[in-house]
Amino acid sequence: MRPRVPRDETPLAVYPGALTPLKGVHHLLHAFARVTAAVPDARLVVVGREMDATYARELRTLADRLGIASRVTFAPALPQPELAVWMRRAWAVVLPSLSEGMPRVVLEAMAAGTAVVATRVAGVPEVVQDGVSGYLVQPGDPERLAGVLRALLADRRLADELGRRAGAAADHGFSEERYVRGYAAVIAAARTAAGAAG
Amino acid sequence: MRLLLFNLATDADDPVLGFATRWIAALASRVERIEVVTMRRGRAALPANVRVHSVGKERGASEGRRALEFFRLVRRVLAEGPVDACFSHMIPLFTVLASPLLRPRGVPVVT
Repeated sequence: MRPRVPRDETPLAVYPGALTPLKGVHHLLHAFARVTAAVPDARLVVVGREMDATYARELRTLADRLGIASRVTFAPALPQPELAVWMRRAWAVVLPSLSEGMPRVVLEAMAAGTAVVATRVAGVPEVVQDGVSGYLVQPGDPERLAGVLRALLADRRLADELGRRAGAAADHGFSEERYVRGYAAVIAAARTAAGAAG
Repeated sequence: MRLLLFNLATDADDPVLGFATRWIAALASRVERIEVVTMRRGRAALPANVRVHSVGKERGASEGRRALEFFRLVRRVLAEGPVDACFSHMIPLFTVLASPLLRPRGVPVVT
């Protein structure tokens, strides 16, 4: 269910995920430093468990070194309903992972009606349409990541429109009715196949 | 169709897995009966043609106890009548454990 909260008035990006090198959060910080040069009121909230304490410390140090510590908030992992509110408030949800499976947070961000900026890894391109419901970039490319993030955080109307399309895609593609109908069809087909084999 | 369904939690109040309870209710309108074997049971208002059997995580049962309970429950469900298909949702452990019981009976498994 989409949280009934308005999008923030000032540009906000949210990273929802664990703090491990494989998630590429360091690339996001480098990209965000470039974004703040063009969008000085932009903020980044990093929400997630510090699975790698050394890496988490390095990220805070990096934010300091890049001069964006005042623009970046590190928050602990939140219950899903609270995270959904952060996602809804955001102008963009960012997932800069170097590797993934099918990240649930991408689906949750879309369900919240928020544009997704993510790396083109694993199952992500199957759900995020580049330029339609968000933007896809190659992993480990902070320059390109900064470019698309800047475009979204500098243009509220663009963020709203891509968020609206992301929400529509989630409603259509990931609805309970669609999943149940699909599973029911697969179960019926499996039963028929087993009957034929037996 | 009599459907055997495995899942991690059958609990409408679970912030992450609560949706599974709605799925079960929706599937129940498409089959004659659903026998749910779940790792953890919470609040779940389900149609009359759904029975929920828990291996007991909500009661603090140990892993060994839960494994024994799983076999007991699946055996009981199978003894009560034929199962047409098994839908194992997000719980591959149950799929593997049930395999020796389901394969000889030709019960197809959807994961």
